[in-house]
Amino acid sequence: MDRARHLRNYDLHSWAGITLGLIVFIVCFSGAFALFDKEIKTWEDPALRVAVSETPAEINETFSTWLEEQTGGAETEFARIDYPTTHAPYYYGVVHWHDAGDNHLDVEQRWDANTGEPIAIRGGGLSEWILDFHRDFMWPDMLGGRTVGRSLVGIVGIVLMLAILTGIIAHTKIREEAYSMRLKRSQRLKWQDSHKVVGLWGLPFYIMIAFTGAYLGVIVIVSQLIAAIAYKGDVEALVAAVLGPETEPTGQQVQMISLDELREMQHPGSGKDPYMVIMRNYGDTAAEFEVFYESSTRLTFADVTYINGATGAPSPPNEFREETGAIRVANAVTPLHYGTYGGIWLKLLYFVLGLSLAVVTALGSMMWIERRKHGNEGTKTLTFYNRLGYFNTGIVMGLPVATLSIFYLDKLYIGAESTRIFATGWTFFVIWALGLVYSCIRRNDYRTTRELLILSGVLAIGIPVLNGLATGQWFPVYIGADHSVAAWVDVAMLAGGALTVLAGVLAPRERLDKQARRARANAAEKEIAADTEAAAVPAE
Amino acid sequence: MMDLIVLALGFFSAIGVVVGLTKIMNKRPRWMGFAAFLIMIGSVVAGIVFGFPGSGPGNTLFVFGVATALSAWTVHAPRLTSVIIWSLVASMFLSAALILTLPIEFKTLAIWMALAVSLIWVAFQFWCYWDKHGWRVASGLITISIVSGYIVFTTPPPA
Repeated sequence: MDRARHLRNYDLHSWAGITLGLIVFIVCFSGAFALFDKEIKTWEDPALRVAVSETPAEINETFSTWLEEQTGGAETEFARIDYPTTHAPYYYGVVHWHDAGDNHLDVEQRWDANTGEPIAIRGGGLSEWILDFHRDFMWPDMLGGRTVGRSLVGIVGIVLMLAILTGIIAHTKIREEAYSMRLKRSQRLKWQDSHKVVGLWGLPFYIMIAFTGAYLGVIVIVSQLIAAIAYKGDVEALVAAVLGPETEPTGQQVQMISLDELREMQHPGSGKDPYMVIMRNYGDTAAEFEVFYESSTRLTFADVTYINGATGAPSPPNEFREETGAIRVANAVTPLHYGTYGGIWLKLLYFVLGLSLAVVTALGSMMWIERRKHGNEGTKTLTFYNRLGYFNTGIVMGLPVATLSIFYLDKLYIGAESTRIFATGWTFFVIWALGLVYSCIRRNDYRTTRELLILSGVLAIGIPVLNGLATGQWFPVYIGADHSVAAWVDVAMLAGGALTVLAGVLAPRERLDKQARRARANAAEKEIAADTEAAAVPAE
Repeated sequence: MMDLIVLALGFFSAIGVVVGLTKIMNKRPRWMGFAAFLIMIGSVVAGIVFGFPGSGPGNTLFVFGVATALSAWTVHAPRLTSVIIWSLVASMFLSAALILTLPIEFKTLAIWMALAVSLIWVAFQFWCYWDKHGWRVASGLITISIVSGYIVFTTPPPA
């Protein structure tokens, strides 16, 4: 490759990183936590910390009465029932319909698995924020809503793919660089080696996560744009052409199959029980139930069967539901991205690799600034690059503090359930902004990093204590119980917090220039020499 | 349908005029990037004020304003414009054109293209800085957009 092309490629890599690297960092860091949204939800809501009932209460009568009361007999768009599971040990129902004025309405309800009694809906908060901030930045409606946010996250995936591609091409000595870690050299070389080594070893995962993330985000705008272009704006026509036309109701009312009987209907292949049913044309002879079974070992979101809602007989074959190669690949994207196909250990591996990608991105931007502050690149003033450094450090180190702070808000919140999510969001952004302000006031990226790392660690260690004080469930007692998920979250926070504090304590307080490093090395050598001399003197 | 074709033709004609004039004058003044940005913001605001999307002056202002700004910006920084704007436009139009023209079952092809579009987009972005000539990239991507756009606007939607 000629030098000019190499430089252009390197420029593209570094500029893609510096302009959108922080957003990539935010998406990767929040994504590492979003992997555990179900576990965090159990930690968040003490009502979920119960074992799944062996003999759950019957739900069919309760659900159909509730449905009738809510919709007033109006035709439903779809209804859904979730059966009790380890992470959600209650019945959950939701129905969508249109009123006489064609306004879209929806309502949800949950019921105790043992008694069938309604349980109050807890407002969305911690787990919802963590998951949705990763998926769509919780993009506000006044700026276009979640679709815009999701598309932006998709574009982050595109930028990440581009950065990976240009990064691979920029490194001409991949084999040597994969093993090169010069820990006794300058800070910049340490960062550079870490960036390359971690980046190269995690490459297959990073390519996969960037591609699947880009697909999940960009598919929203792609489908809209392709519909606008190929179908002249008719999105419904595109959906019908790809997923098949929807079955129209006949208008003849009929008794539906019992949801309690359906719960016993095991999957013909895996033998698993269903965990969710989506019902279309409920109450009609043309009702169709989509029955979902967990698929924890296959690369697919769920195993799905379709049955007639009135008779329980399997739906007739439909060409749109045939599992073609394209559909299998598309269905594999979500489990691949969220690591839902291999149990908790796979998720932990995803967590480590996801965090490492965030670190690689942060190191990239730190190197970019360092080269301009203390190298011969860049045309701006030192003050400009210093400020850029404070901003970068504030954003990067403020995010873990903000993320851990909302765990505290969750347990200390005393307002209305309907506004819990707003309080969570405000707390998150205010704490994050405070991290940024602190970085600008501190004016030392090394000390800011060190101190905010220690603060993050201390916050994480405090989470099990907070949980114990707020709910009375101290993790050593509950770790062996049937509902130990929340206790394991506490343990993970304790271990992660301890490691973070350790990393903070070991982090340097200031940048060591060449002279300072030489002085330190000389002092160490003198100390060793003195020890050797002392050992050589014979004892009297 | 005709409105769309006329607007698309107007869009690319405006780009052609500005690019052609600037090339004839052989000048890429420094203020061009800033002016392009101002024109683009102005035309978006004017488009919203005068009713875009829709018909009438809003559409005209929006389309021609954006086209003028884009063309000025393309002349000023062909690689940067290509990596930010033209790669996206070309990948979307190319994907739509391939969906409409390739002799593969529509629903299967649509899913494959939805998977492939991000790869096409990244490939175009990569090409922007790989090619020795910035202008070759910009004109290549604009040509792909025009040819694909022509196919898309003249092909009836799949049944």
